[in-house]
Amino acid sequence: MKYSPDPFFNPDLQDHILPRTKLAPGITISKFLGGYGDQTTLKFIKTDEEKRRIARQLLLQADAMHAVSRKNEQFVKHRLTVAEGLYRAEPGETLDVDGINYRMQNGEAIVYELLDRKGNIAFEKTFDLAVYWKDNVNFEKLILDYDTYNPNGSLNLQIILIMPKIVSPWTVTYKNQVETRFNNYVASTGELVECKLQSEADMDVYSS
Amino acid sequence: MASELDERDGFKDPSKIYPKREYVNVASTNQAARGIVRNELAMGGGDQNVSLDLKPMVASQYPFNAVKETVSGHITEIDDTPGAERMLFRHRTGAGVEIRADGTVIVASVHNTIRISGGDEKVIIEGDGEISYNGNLTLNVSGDYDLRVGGNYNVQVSGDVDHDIRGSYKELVHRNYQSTLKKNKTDYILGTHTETTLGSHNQFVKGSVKHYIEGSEDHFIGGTLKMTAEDEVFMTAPNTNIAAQSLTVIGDSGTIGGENIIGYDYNHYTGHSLTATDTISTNTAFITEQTTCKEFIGSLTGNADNATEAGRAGSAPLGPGGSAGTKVTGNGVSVDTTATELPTTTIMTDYITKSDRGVRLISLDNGDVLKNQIDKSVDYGGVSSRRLTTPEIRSKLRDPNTLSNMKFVGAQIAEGKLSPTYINATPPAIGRVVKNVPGAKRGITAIGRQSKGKTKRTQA
Repeated sequence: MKYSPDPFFNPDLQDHILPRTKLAPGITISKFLGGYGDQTTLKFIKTDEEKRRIARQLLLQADAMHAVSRKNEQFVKHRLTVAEGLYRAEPGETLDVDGINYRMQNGEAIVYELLDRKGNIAFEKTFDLAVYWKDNVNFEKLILDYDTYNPNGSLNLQIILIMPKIVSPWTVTYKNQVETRFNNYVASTGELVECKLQSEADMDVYSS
Repeated sequence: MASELDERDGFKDPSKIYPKREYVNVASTNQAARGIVRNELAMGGGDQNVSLDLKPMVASQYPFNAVKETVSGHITEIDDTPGAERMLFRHRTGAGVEIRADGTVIVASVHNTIRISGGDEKVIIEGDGEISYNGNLTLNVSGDYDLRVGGNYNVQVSGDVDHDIRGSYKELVHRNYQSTLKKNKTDYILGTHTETTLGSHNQFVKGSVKHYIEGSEDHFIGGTLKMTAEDEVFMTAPNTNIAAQSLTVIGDSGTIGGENIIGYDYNHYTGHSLTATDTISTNTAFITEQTTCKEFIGSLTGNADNATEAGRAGSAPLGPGGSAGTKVTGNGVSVDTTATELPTTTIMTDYITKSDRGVRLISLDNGDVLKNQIDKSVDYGGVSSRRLTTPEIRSKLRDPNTLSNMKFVGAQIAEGKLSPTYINATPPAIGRVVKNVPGAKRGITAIGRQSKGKTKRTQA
């Protein structure tokens, strides 16, 4: 499939690729650099060509993000944030070439969180977002990623959106796979499963 | 003809815009006025650790809410509902201003926000402030920029910090100053570097120190200068001067002196031979055992065995008989025996290894305890050199290599940053399940006129 970038945001038409380079209305490259899970800069990318290649990949992510802008009635009370953007491995850290972090190095994968008005993760809406993206956006793989890594064992939910590698000039192959993970273990493939720490029945008993 | 009359009879909208879909066959009083729907600004959610802190409000009650909604969707509301008094000025895009019941004022924009003041601007916030720029921020200040912080000033930068200061830089720290550097530090000073320490100055270096000084170096010390080395000390210069009122240069082996060295001393104790190529000039020589020389000029005290025989030597006729002298031991003068202790191997070993003037054995950060506290690479199995937050750990654990790095995982659990439940592979409970049915995507760009997203939408 051929991807048609908006000329206004096409990195190929930009003189330089900077954190300020726009990828979509209101979305610059810096949005993918400041994720609180893996903050980094563009400085470690040495060549302009590599920066441009990453910007092209991030363009696909920006489109998906833009689909959940505040104009989208479904998510008007929530904010989509980049939890983990461009990844930079530390010296001595060896990444698995099939791993997500390896693809995050190239701007192909981004980790998102959907926050409510209190700044907390909106669990149900995040599930809705995963369904929305599944139905409306093309991608290589969408992972609904639950974990209990928080020190208090509470539930955390993120969406990992992996976009296909763009083959020059703009050819992409979307597989549109979905997966649910719990604590980094694959809980389900081909379907989105809402994970909870307690069943509804348990919660009723607990609350009563 | 009949249909034209219908359009003009006041019961139908000639423009065919009204009634909107949600008002077909129901009362045309605006739903917001009746509390059925609540019009809100498009402000989105909060941000990471930033809560909008909005209090829930009760629904509007008829007839307290005066609502005006235009064709395209612009809305104004002035609501007098008890407990929900508010004012809303909303653009069809969701941008606008809202004043809520508790007096909270919300200004929301779905695109750019531009604020221009022709004069001064004063901002007074009685409470706290939280600002998140999810993009870039540039602050241009034409004049001075003064920042006064009553409490702590914390800055966390994930990238680099570049300061280009075209004037001078001055820092005044009233208490302690601590900096930790994990890599290298380079200072370039084109002028003079002056450092004044009125207290003590301690420097601990685990590696080597090299001073390359093209000019001169002066060390002026008011007290004692101690220099010890576990291996060797080299001091080399074409002209080396060591001067002292009391000088001690000792060693149990080695060489002192040179071809053109002139020596001065008080008493000289030589363990074996004392050799002078030319001359030994002395008032008295006290020899306890034996002396040998080719020619002796002068008088001897006593009569030696050889001197007696010498009187009979050669082919000369015997002279008048004489009596042989008696061998006597010379004991003409007393010897000055002022001495210090002979620096033997044993003494020198003790001096070097046991005395307070001996060599200091240096061992800094034995076992790299301090280093590993600063650089966490070893403790974290090479995954990271610094302490991580839980979100950062979550990011690292996405990689299978890191997830199986038990040293890293164990350290994070021990530090309380990672729940031990990380190992659970199965969720305790599940809710909704949505299958991925292959097919065409609906797309995200709406085509056609919409009414708050509730009319039928065709998307591309």
